[in-house]
Amino acid sequence: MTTSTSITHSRRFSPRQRREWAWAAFFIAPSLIGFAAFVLFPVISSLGLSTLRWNLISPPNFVGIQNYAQILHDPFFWRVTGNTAYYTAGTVPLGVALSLALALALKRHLPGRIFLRTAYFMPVVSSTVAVALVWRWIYNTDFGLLNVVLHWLGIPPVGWLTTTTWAMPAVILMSVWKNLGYSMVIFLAGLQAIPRTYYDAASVDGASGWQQFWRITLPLLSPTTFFVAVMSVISSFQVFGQIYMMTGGGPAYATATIVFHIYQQAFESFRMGYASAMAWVLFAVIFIFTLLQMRYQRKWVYYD
Amino acid sequence: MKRCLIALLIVAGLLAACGKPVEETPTLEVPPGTTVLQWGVWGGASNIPIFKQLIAMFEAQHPDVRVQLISVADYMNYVTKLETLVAGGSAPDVIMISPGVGTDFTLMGALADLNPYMEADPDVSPDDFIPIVLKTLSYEGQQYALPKDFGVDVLYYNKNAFDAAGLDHPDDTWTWDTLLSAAKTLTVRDDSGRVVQWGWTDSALNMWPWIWQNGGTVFDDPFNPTHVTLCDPPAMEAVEFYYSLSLEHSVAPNVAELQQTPFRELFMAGRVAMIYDTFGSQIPFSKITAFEWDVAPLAQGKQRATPLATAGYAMSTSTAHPDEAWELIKFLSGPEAVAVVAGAGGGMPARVDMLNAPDILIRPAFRESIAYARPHMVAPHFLEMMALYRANLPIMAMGVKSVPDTLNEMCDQVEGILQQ
Repeated sequence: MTTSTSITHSRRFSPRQRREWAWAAFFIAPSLIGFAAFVLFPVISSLGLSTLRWNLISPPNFVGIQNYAQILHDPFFWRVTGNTAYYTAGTVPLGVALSLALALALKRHLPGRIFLRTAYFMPVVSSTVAVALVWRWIYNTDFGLLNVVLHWLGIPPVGWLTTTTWAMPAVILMSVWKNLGYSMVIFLAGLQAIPRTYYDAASVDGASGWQQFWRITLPLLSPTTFFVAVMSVISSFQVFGQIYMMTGGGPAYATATIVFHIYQQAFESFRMGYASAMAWVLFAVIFIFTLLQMRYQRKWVYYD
Repeated sequence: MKRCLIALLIVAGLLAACGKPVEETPTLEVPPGTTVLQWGVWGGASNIPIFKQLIAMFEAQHPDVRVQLISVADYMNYVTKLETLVAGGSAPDVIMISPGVGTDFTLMGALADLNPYMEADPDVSPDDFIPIVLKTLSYEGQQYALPKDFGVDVLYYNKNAFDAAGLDHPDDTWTWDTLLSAAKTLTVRDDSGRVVQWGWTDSALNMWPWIWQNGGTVFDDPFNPTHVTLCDPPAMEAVEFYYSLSLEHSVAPNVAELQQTPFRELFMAGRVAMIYDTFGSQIPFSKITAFEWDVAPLAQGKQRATPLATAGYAMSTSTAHPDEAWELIKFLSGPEAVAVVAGAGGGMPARVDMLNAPDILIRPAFRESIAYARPHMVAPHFLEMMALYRANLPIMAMGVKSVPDTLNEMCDQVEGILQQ
């Protein structure tokens, strides 16, 4: 991007430039005000809140970093961190791989591909609450669709949401299904940006489809893959809606995640300060993770 | 030109989005000189008509007072809304309250002591009410509410299931062992081993009757707790037995299964033969047509005990009309209003004269249980403790961790909340 040549003089902006800036400010203002009021201000307040002990009714009192120290001794915190790690390890690789496969499959000019793309994207825009409720019924041990299908295949019913072994896999499966469309659309865009000439040249040289995938598609797709991976990790750390609606953190805290624990501490145990402190710890964890991913990207992301 | 148009569109859009805020409680249009009282209640569509009827009766007797109902359907949402209103200094004048929250609000000075009003008023006396109910709605000598009604837990049972199994119906001689052996006989499985009918169940969070019946307690003094006795042997033994019903003896569904199908639904569908439940469940159960049911007192351990639940009417300390608020509370806890509420069947009247009146139909099992009913929600910070129980009890109930380990952890945490 080249700078405008009219700003080589170091005098005040001309009336025309000031008007341009005024219009720019006016158009940005609504978004900026919304951001300041609903994102910036609450975020800064919650930092202050994390140093207090407050249960909404009694006046708050200052406790410094005691909330953060308490987090280390909270057995539930470590449990939910483990659950969140389990959830992330389950959804991210599976989600990225499946959505890439879907994008590859739907890139060709198949009949009905527009319908299929829409069908895969619909769960993304559907309300998490509605989807969670539907899946709760699908997973029902006695009447759920999934166990009925398993019954046809001769497999005994599985307690999807009623056993500690299967509850988290059940939530992972539902989340992967729900978010497939989003990553698929992004991969589709990335795939379409790869010039056909590379594939043509490779075919001429006798490369198989698999080789073309490994040597051309994947490397040129790596910026997109990186983006999808980073976004998936961040959002999987923040999962809450499905857990709250489908399992309520259960059974026996097997599916409770960090954000679920934060919600509970804030709105069921009325410990606003403690919950805010946990939220900031989560922020720090996500931040460090993302930084690590960005540092590591030089090893495998190929920008031309 | 085009920019002006776009700007105008944005501004118009913003203004349209703002609009008028949704008024939940429209202000009443009243003639001058009328006092308007706000009355906070919880309850869904089934309860609102009763409250409105009570308001009509009250306003007929007090023409210069109007009462505005502020209702929230869900109890937890009601509590949250109350807390915000109290924090903002605009709590309703009269507040329907239950002991778990009442203690905390009294501690913060949000509820007025009604004792001076009772002493000054010749029409109302503490002796009008059932002593244990009145005590449950007080904290450290301060009477923060007068009773609306109360209920106790009993054993609901499916008569048809008992007859089919050839068992005698439950009565007041039942002990823990009788209950367990009956539950074993009543647990029916089909050929694939799936349970078609469970022997017994409850909410899986109601450990109190078992603890008390075994001679244990959760606190040294429920009304003035100084330390936690939940980890003492009698209480721990009781909790182990309670959860062994599903874990060891498999006569009760486990917590996760109950989350899928709540225990009341199981009973109404005929999929469990016995449940421990509250007085109010008679209302939904009255719609059962598939089988006949009845109630019996809870089985006894070393002694008899049953949880007491109640709700009352309190006065906010920030009210601008204390005298009118007192009149409303006096009316609502008085014979006429209590008769209307008792008639709806959600609870038993807490007035001594009405409890024994012939036209109030109460099954004998409930009456018998009143003698040994005890409250469990009266400790300060009860809601915080309840959140702790809800998180920890399922861990024991699912057998993920042993009862002694989980209880010991819980005791430390409850002690921490208590000493706040």
